[in-house]
Amino acid sequence: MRLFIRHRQDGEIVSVAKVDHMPDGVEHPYAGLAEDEAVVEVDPDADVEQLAAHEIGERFTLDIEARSLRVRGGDSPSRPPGRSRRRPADG
Amino acid sequence: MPDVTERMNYFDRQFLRAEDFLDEQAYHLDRRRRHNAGFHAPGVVEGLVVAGDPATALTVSQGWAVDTEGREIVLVTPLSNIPTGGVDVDVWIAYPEPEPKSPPVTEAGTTGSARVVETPVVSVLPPGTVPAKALRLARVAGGAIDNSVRRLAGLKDLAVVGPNLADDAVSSRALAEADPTPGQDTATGTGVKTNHLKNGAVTEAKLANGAVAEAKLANGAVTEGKLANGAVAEAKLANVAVTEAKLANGAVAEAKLANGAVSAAKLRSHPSDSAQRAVGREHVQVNTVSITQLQASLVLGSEFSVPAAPAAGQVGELAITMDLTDGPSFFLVSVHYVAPRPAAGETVNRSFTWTRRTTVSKPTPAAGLLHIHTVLVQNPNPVPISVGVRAFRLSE
Repeated sequence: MRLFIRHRQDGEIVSVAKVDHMPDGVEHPYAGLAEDEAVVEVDPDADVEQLAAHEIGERFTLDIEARSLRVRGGDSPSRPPGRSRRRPADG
Repeated sequence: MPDVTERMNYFDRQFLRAEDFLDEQAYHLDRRRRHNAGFHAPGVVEGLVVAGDPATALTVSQGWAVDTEGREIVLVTPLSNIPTGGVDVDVWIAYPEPEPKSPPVTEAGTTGSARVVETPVVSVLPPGTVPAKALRLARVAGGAIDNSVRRLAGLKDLAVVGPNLADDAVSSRALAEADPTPGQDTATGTGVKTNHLKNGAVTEAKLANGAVAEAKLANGAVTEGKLANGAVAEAKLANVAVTEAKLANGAVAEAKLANGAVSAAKLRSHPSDSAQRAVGREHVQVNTVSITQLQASLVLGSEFSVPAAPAAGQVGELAITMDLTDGPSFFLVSVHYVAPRPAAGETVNRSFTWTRRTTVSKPTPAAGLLHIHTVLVQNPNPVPISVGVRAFRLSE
């Protein structure tokens, strides 16, 4: 499973995607990103994998600099740095 | 054979002459020889075996025979030094004719021979020469003596006919085994021929298991009515023994097909005419064909969180890229609710909608049209939800 985080520039998570399969030729499964939105792929740990997608958004924020999930209301990253990608909004 | 119609009749003080004694002998000779010739075939009775050196001289052992006139040919002393001349010959024996007499004697002023001499005459003759009233004993040819050419005395030809045979008189031992001569001519050879058997004579019980091989059956000999139900097992059929032309329409029922007997290669197909396909739409049961049985490719299998509605009467939206194609395409798409799940005993009504949208793009002047297929999920609920999205692209 791959984990993609769609977020705003302030680190707020807009959507979480737990991807088992996605089309060839795309970097992430999201379309229609707003101007202040970006998508980052992080390596999920076992605990995060057990959560529903919306639960990840409720419990974590994204540390953009560290490119990792941070427990909402806490100060320690839950994940090692991930990869961050931007792509223009499409259809 | 003399015509003897009288026999001696004696009375007291009768004066007998030599002629009377000769008539006495003649009567008995006549009746015995009539018996021999009438009831028996001429030939060797016993002995008279030819031996010796075929190149020089032969011997004939003692023995006796009966000639064609019923006369006994009796050789009481073996004969030897019968020259062959070193060539192929037949050895014959015959009753002496005329009958030689013993040397004459004179008694009471009269002279006569007191005995008739029956010593047989043995002769050797070139093969093919048949002396009258003689019996052949052997043939000497190629340096060998063949005694089997002789005929043995016995019953006359055709002497024993059906009515003269007692029931069960002919045992197996008395039947000659069939010779290798082909054909069914009952006038030659040995053994039992076709015409010796009555129609219907050979019943099933007389046939051994496996007695009737394929080569013994005429084409078309075995009709359906002659086969018992279940008579023909698979092991008894040669490969390709049963061709299509031999099967009646409807002959092969479902129960006669083993599980897995019909492979895909045996099902008729046609690229365009469904009427010529073995399996039509009516042959497929409802709910039989699952998505995985279609020629489909999974292009998206993911779980997404969809933002909550920002305010009452509004919706949170999420656009998802489902697939990229360069031309016509067919999709099977499922968007299903995942979470949050109601707590135990809680009743929650949540809804969401989703739509498909296709955007066309031409990234570069030289590139073709790129179709970007997306799914837009709208969440009217005041809380974020998780939905699962699975999309299959179908191939034509």
